[in-house]
This record gives sequence, structure tokens and C-alpha cells, in this order.
Amino acid sequence: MLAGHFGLAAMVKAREPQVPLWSLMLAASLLDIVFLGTYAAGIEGFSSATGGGLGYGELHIDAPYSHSLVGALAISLLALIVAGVAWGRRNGLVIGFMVLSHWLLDVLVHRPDMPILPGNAGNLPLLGLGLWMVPWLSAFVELCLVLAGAYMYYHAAMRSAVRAERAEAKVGSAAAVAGGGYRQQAMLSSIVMFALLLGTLAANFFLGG
Amino acid sequence: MVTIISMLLFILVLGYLDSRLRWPKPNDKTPKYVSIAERSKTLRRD
Repeated sequence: MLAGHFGLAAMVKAREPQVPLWSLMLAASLLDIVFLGTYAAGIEGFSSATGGGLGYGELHIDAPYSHSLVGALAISLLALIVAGVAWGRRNGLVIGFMVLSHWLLDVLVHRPDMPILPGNAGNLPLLGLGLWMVPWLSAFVELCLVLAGAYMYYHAAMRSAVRAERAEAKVGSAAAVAGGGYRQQAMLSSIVMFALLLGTLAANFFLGG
Repeated sequence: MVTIISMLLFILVLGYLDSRLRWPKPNDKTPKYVSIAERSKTLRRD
């Protein structure tokens, strides 16, 4: 899952507009960013689950640290503390949730390859509901997240833009006289958001990760 | 490769575009909630 994480981040942005979008997108992909680091260091890796290619839903992720339950909780807590110190408790909680949401969505789609303890200590059962084994269904779930995220982001952005234009019209600023400036920016952001979400889903589905 | 490119696009490009919108700031003070009953106590009649 790739686009689904970003779709959820767009939904959270619409509900919590004070949290910067870049930080939500960063939080949504933080576990994968950690994975990229551990992959480069040779600690974690991936292989084909089907013995064939590495297309959509065909990955077996060997990420016993970054994608373990306790590892994800630790990374979420760290992000929560950093964001909480900078932006306050509420925004810290939002960022912490966003990081953890990555693990929750991954559990839904991954084959059972996600350990509970880092390094799969104790050989506890591996987690993963395996939605990737039905690729079209997994892609459909992602598409729902993408469409809901794009829709909610568009409405929140336009609402915020209209509010800003009204506020500036009251004080008669030049930006408000020019008219529609903020709405145009909100429309541009929404279109780029939609295109990136859909493009990511299509690229992931047809080209793999 | 798709993963890395999409991360960069979402975080940097979309993050930049979004930062130009008039969202509330993370450290903005939100107005404290005041109930309608509380507000009605402070209403003045002419």
C-alpha cells in the first residue's frame, strides 16, 4: 500500500487543518522511510511472495524492526514527542496517530510477515491479513482512501480559501480586490493532490513498488 | 522507485503548494469553547 497512506493523510489534513500537510505526508510514510534506511544498510529487505515478480501485492516484506508492532509504536511515540514539543499536545497526537496508521493499514494488506517484537524476538506469530493476495480488492480499498482523501482535502482547502478571502475583503486588501486568489491556489493544490494520489495508485498497481 | 518518487512528490511538491494556502497555523490559539448558556449570561440589553 502506498497511495492509501497518503489518501488517509489527506483526510486527516481536512479534519485537522492546522497540521502542515508535509508533516502528515512525512508521518504517513515514516515507517517506509526508516525501512529504506535499514534496507540500504542491509538490515531489512524484501522478496517476491509469489516466486515471480515484484508487482503490486507480490511483495514479502522482511522488515522485522521498522514494521514490527513495537518498532512502529516506538517510532510513533518519537514522532509524537517531536511534533508535540514543536506544535503542542494535540498536533503531536495527530502526528503520532498518522505514523501508527501506516502500520495498521499495512497489517490489512500484508501477508503474515509483520512481527510483534523487533527482530521477531520470541518467534511470536507474524501479523498480516493478506489483502494483497486479492490485488483488485486491495487496490479498490486504496482507491476508496484516495477518493475520500482527495474529496475531503478539496472541500477543506476551498472552505479555508473562502474564509481567508472574506477576512481580507473586510479589511479591503489588494489580494481580496483581485478576487479568487486563494481559491485558485486551493484548486491547484487539490488538483495536484488528486493527480498524485491517483497516479501513485496506478503506478504502484501497474509497475509495482 | 515508485515509492521514493511518490514520497518526494507528496512531501516536497504538495507540501510546498499546500503551505501557500491560508490554513490555521499549528501554534494558533483556538478560541476557547463557550457554551450558549454561558454566552447568554453576558448578553447586554439596550
